[in-house]
Amino acid sequence: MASTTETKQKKMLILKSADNDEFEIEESVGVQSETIKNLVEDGFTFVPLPNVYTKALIKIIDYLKKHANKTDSNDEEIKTFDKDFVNTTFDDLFELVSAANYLHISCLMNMLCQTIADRIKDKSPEAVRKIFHINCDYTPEEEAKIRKANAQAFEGQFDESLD
Amino acid sequence: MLTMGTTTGDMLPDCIIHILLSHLGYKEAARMSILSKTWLRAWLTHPNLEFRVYDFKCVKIVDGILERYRVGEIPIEKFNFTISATLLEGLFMIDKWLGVALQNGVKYVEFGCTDFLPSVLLDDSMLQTLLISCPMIVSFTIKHCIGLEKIELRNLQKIKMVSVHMDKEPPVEIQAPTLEQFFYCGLAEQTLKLEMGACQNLKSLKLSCVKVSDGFLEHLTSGCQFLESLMLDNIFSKELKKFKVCRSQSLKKLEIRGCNGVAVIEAPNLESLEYVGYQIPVLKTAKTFGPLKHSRMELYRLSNLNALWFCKLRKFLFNSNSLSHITLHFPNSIKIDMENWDPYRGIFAIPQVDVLNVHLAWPLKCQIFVDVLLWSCHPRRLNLFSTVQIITCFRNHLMRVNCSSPCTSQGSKPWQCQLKDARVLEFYGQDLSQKPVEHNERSRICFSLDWK
Repeated sequence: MASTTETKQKKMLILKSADNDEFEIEESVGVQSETIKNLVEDGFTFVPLPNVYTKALIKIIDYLKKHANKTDSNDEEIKTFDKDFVNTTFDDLFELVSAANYLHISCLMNMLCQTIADRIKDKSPEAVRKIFHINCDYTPEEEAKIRKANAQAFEGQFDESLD
Repeated sequence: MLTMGTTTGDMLPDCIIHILLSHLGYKEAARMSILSKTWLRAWLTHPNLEFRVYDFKCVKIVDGILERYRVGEIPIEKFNFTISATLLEGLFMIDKWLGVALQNGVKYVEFGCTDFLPSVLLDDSMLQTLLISCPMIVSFTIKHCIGLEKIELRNLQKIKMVSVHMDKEPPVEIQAPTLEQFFYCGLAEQTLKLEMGACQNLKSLKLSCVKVSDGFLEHLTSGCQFLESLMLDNIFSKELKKFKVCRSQSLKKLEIRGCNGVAVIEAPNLESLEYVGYQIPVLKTAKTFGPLKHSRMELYRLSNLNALWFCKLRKFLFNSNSLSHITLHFPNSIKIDMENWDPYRGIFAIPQVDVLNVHLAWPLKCQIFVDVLLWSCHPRRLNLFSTVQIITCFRNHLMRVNCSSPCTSQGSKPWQCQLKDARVLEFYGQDLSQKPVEHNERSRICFSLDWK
């Protein structure tokens, strides 16, 4: 009986992705995002997210649902969920980190940045450039100058792999 | 496949790159500055600063970086730096750098200091005030303090352990009936003035790097009836030819390292003895065949070898009656002169040794050396570290025992009759036939010897 009452009282939100898919979620789940929270406080129940694509949004909604039900007893479960969540390609992580940044979900942002940082920290600059699809905008002279300025940081062996 | 399009790699907004970089260590982040100008900008405003300041060049670099943060009012989150305590130029900057960090909103500061801290100034009245205000202390350690004329410890009812580690060596006076452990470490520049009255419960005494006057050790230990452990490490004395270590009945553990003079050890209940030094100690416990269980001796001999030296060695080993581990170092070029040596003297009481290590850096008369070495003791294991030439000679001489019955042949040595079996356990060396042998080549051979 109590649960039915609760369901009735639950406020729902509609999120619309950049590729025009709509998702209905509970308000209490959505407000973990500062961006959504601000809109809700302004009275919106329909939230267009022009910077967040469907695939990323589905994953992020999963994350928000999981973390909305955080209790002492499911701590381990959430840890496992988080571990699986970040176990994906760099390109997926970049998409997710952009979305998390736009949505202002600080705990997710932290987790994603830490994951990316951990995965690139031992890699060679050349490998990181490929991973981030970076076009180097230095002249060879500028590059040499920067290498020299931080010579210590470039000592040692680096990982050349791209995963 | 994600519809990345606008969000591929270098399209990640600057603000995300900035956050990403702050999750990397300072050094790793510095490496990322090579990626592109966007990353360089992010690096230049990295909120977590981590510095290891070891030399003047580092001081200048760190100062430059912090100046840039100060002028640009760049937020600082964490400030972590380690500095060498001997780097004065750096120490003077600490206040300024912390000021910048605080000004820019630092939340976490971690400060480390390598090498030792500069000495702490503490005078006699400060020490006495400290001690009076805490009369119930159990352990007292004082290190690298300057300004003390005297260290006086009395009226401490619960004190168990005192450790003094001083560069200047002020006189020490202790009146502490409850004291159980005392350590003193100096720089051996001044003669130690240590007065320990009424320390009848002292169990462990350790003196390190001190200069002492004659008779000091006997005087010191005579008052400690229950002393169980004594360690003398680098004790110097000008005139010292012989020093008596301890007549204590209670002494169980004795360690002597690098002390000049001959140690005369009288401790009938000694259980463990470790000795490192140049002189063969004299052990006077033997008559009773004390309970010595563990012993280890490392002897360095720099000058020529003669019969007397081997006699002393043999006597010491005989008296210890249980010496398990002996290492002999002969680092210099030495001669062996065995005039007046009678290989048949005392052949029925040759001390047994578990392991005998011999380090021979230079060639000498190998056969006579083997003969006299095996007259001084009968090792079960013999490890020789030397040149391939000496090792070969050792092996030929030792292994001959297996192929004939040398006892009956003319000119055989007593050890050859007493040795039942000799085996080579391990041999590390160059193949003699292939290479000319280098003079100082370090090779090793291990023998297992079975005595009758």
